[in-house]
Amino acid sequence: MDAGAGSGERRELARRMIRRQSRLSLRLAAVFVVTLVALPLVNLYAPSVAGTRVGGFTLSWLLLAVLFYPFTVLLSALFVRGSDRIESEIVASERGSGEAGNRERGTGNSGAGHGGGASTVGSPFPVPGSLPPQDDSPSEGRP
Amino acid sequence: MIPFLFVLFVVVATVVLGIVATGKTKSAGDLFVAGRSVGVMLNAGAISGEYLSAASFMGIAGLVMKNGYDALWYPVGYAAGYLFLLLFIAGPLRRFGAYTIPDFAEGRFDSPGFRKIAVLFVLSIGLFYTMPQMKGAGVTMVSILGWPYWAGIVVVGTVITFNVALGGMKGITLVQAFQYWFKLFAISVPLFILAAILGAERVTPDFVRNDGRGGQPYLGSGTRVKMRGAAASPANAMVIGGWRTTVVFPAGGRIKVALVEKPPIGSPVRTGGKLAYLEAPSRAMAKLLRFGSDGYASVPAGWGLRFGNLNSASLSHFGVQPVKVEFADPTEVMLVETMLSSGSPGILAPNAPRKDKWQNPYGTLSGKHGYPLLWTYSLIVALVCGTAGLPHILVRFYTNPDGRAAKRTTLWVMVLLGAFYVFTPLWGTLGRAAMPALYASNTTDAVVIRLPTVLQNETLGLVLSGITAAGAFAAFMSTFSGLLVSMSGAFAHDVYGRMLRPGASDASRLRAFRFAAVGVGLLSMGLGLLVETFDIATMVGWAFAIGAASYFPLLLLGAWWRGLTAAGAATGMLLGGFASLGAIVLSMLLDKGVVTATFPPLVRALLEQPAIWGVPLSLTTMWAVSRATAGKIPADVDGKMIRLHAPEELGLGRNYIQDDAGGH
Repeated sequence: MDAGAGSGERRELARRMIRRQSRLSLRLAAVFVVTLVALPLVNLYAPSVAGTRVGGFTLSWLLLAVLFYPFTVLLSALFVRGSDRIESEIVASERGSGEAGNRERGTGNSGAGHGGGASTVGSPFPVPGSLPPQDDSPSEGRP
Repeated sequence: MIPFLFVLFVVVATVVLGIVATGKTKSAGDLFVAGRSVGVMLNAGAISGEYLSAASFMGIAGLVMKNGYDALWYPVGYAAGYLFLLLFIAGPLRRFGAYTIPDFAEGRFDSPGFRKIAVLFVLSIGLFYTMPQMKGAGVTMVSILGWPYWAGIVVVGTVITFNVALGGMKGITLVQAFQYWFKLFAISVPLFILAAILGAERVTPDFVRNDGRGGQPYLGSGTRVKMRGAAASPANAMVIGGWRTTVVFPAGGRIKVALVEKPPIGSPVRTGGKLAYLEAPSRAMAKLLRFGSDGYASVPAGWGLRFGNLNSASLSHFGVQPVKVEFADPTEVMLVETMLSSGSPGILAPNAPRKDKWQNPYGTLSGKHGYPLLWTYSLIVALVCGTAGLPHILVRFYTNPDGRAAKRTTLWVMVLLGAFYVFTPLWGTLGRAAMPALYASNTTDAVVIRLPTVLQNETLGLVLSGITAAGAFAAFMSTFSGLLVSMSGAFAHDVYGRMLRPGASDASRLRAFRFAAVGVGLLSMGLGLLVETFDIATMVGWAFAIGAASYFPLLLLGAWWRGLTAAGAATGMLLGGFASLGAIVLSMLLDKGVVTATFPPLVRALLEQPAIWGVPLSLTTMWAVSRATAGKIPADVDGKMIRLHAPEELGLGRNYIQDDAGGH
């Protein structure tokens, strides 16, 4: 399509972001889908396992009506953490390659400790209302 | 009177909070996306509040009570859909930075024509989702206050139309978050109190197994049940399990009687034709029912109906034959134990499913047409993909300041929804143990509102019932407000601001939004009046099936596959969406007997739950047509992919729709 150097870089950046993020998404989605496919099969082919009694519930009932919710929250938390880490690394490497003088700081960010972003990355549950630290928000339309 | 006060409270709180939150709504950005400044917790509360509709607040408890395990897939699917939304859609969608979902459709492909198709789907999904909310408001007012059906619709419709027209997205965000927390309170606290009084063991599904009655719910002799008459068919039938039950008609009535299953050959039922007989109040005399040419037989006032043969030697033979009674008119009957004895558990609750069908998977719901495994998978696909394809939910992600906030919001939505949904099945299990009369009258849908009235302490029962009724109203109002913003936005922004008058000023777009809100509000109320006889869960199912096969594939591929073209996306959306809709409508017409055609059970199951083929159909069509039109990939597709995926810190993306506040 376009042979300009800038366009090639942009395509490469888009590819890299999509590849890394989608790998994370697909991996977690696979865990989720396998669970969703497996439970009906267990119900059908191993009714005695599904019907094991656990504290007033059958095992299958307990899994579906109670434990499934924390399970999906766990997957979500893993995703948010992983996705944040990928984004921090992409930001660091882009800044690093863009400004030669900052290369050292950039790699430092992606490697040891993530600097100021560490708390956000470590805990996917932010304090209500607080947002991950940002240098600025040039994408916002309003000042 | 007490329930009315609670409903009044939540309605007044909605109006007042709406006015307060609206504050100074000046720009179009405020109306459409609340100025893109909604924090994580507030937006998570608002999304959860908007999402927990009549189907979630009342419907799931009723479905679990009626169908047991199979119905558990509903809350799980409703909640788990957000995981797909989080993994594939939330971040990129927000980073695109539009006002409405049709903006994405147009902007991603530089195709103004595609916007029109997208608007069509916003409106059809929105209206299908609106109708059950309206119906829920109508029937709740009927059942708690005895008001006419239209009254609840007018209350909800007017209040929300006012709020939305006044403040748009900015006006409803705080209200919806408040409504989430109110709903969580209303579904949990009354349940704790009921469980503490009635016995905590009753909320576990095992209770009915261990109660010494063989796992079946029983009614006390003398239970009164109101049947709704032929107009409510098929929710008018009473299936009675044995000869121990006598149905007494204090005021008389007209009935039809049929055997549920074919009797064994040579049984007294078939040879004698003496299916049912009447017993006089004194029990001194008895006579056979006489059926007229319309199939109905009259029962005089005060007489009772018992199933069996006049020859008492064969009574036991009839005991195992379930019999279905249908009522011509709204009728109150009293269920009396035929031979009252002290050790008896009571009367088998009519219409209640057996415990094995209820407690174990693949019971009455999934097994309707055979193929229960297929039905289960298809339901899962519909709910998971449908949730990720509901435009009125998706549009809320634009209100977050950035992509990271959108992802965190989704995570919190899953926490909030899980906390809510974990309670809903417990209402169903407690209902089965404590109020099986709801089975007889086919009103398990109302279990959340009716169950508190079993308490001995009438005042406490009314207070708790008032809390749940108010929670139900919060559900109708919050969901309808989101739908109204989404549909009004489609008219004001997509149709007026982009198609009809692209150069319209901010002020005139504001005015257009308000006109659209009033217009769509009136339309919704009108449609609500028409759907009194429709099933709430069915109508919600339509919206999910269309969303799953149209918007979900569009957003999934649009965000992740650079090869998608406008032609491919549009073809897949139209084909998947309309094929799914057609299948469900056909299935409903077959159920109601409007269309008489015989399909194999496999086809029937696939028609009723089309997602398992509709979603792949849409995805493969999008892929195939995009491949065929590969030359039409938008020129700046890399820029679009960067805008969808680049972290805001890089400063590479820009909101597709720039907020006007800065420019004016």
